[in-house]
Amino acid sequence: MEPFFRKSLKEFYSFIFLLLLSISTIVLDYKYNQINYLRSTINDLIIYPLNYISTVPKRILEISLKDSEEKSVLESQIKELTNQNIKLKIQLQEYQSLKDENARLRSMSKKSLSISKKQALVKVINNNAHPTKKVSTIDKGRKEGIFIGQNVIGLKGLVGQVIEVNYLSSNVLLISDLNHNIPAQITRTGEKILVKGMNYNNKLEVIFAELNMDVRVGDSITTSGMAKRFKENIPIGKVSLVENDQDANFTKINIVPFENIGNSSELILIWDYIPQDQNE
Amino acid sequence: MNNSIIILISLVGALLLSLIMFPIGNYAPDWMNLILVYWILATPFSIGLITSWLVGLVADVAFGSVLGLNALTYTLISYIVIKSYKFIRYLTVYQQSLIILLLFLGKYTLIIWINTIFKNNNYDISLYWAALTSAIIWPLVFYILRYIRRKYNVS
Repeated sequence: MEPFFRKSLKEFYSFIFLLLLSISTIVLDYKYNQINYLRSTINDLIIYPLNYISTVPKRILEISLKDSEEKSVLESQIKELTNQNIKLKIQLQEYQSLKDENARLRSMSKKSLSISKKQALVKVINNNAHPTKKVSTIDKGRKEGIFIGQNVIGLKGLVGQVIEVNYLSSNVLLISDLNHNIPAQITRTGEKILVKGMNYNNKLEVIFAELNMDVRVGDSITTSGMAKRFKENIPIGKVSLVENDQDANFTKINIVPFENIGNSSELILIWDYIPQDQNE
Repeated sequence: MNNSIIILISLVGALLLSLIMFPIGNYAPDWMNLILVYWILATPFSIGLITSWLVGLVADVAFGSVLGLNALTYTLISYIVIKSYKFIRYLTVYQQSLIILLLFLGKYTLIIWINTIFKNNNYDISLYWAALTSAIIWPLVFYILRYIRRKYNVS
């Protein structure tokens, strides 16, 4: 016969011990960020290889689709791209002269000018890294010198920021996440606003906007650089809806981001801007 | 030795399934917890509380929640199941589904509570769907794992 009484007491003690251990890890993780190395170790050893395996079918499909493309399609694509390249080069010339002029004006008013020097293109491994948060996993980590808080952009605009760095991979919190706020401004008026994610890929909202604010549908929104979290003047999106309900406390403003957030396969990391961490 | 390898493989498979099912968000069942519950019911002495806690820690990293939250709930559920496996294992599979539903509803309530304390509004009422889908998928998990257990003679 098994001595179940003694055994049950032993299990009870280990249960209580594990409960206390989990509560202490919760507090440590939330309050002090002390055990991040534990998280990144588990991420590198277990989650990263499995994530890689889980995307194998998708990659095989992509490769086979690429191989089966017709030659004529590819030729027309090359034509289109060369045309685009010429157009962009012309634009770049204009941009260069503008940049020089801007630098000259700025040197007159003795303000520093920040131009992106080093950028890195990264591949997205997983666009849904967590079930409840909007987080993407990218294929570069501490090995390449990625740091927490680094700004992540796409070809057209802001995408998010790095929140977790492991040795081989890192996680990017997208701006469409419910807990993500961006200090932004309306480019036409320069008015400062706060842009919040709504958990939708193609919709952001402005919170705490005053009633009868000077904003129109089609206004473009950029980051304002306040709070030192994001670099200045990264484009975010266009205003798609303005609703001035006089009974409500705030104007309802929706924004359509320029970037297709949560569906991109490649992202760009900015290196010249280091956000200043302000402890909440 | 053989037992722990089979259990480890099933847990890794569960983690892989969870990772694949992240795009559907809160509707995905909690595979790892279901498989833990199955192994505790089938072979009560092969999985202890410490294993559950470690699996929970891995789940925390995968789900991106506060480190220790899923470890806490997995340990809690494992403890309840270890204490009452003699009762639960003689129920029919569908009655076991109901037990799973109740346990998981309690678990997700705890998760929502703790996240509310930390003012994390990513977790809302729709998390309860996971409890329902887990309970619905339980018979399938049960029969597949029973087949594996009999084939490889895990005891």
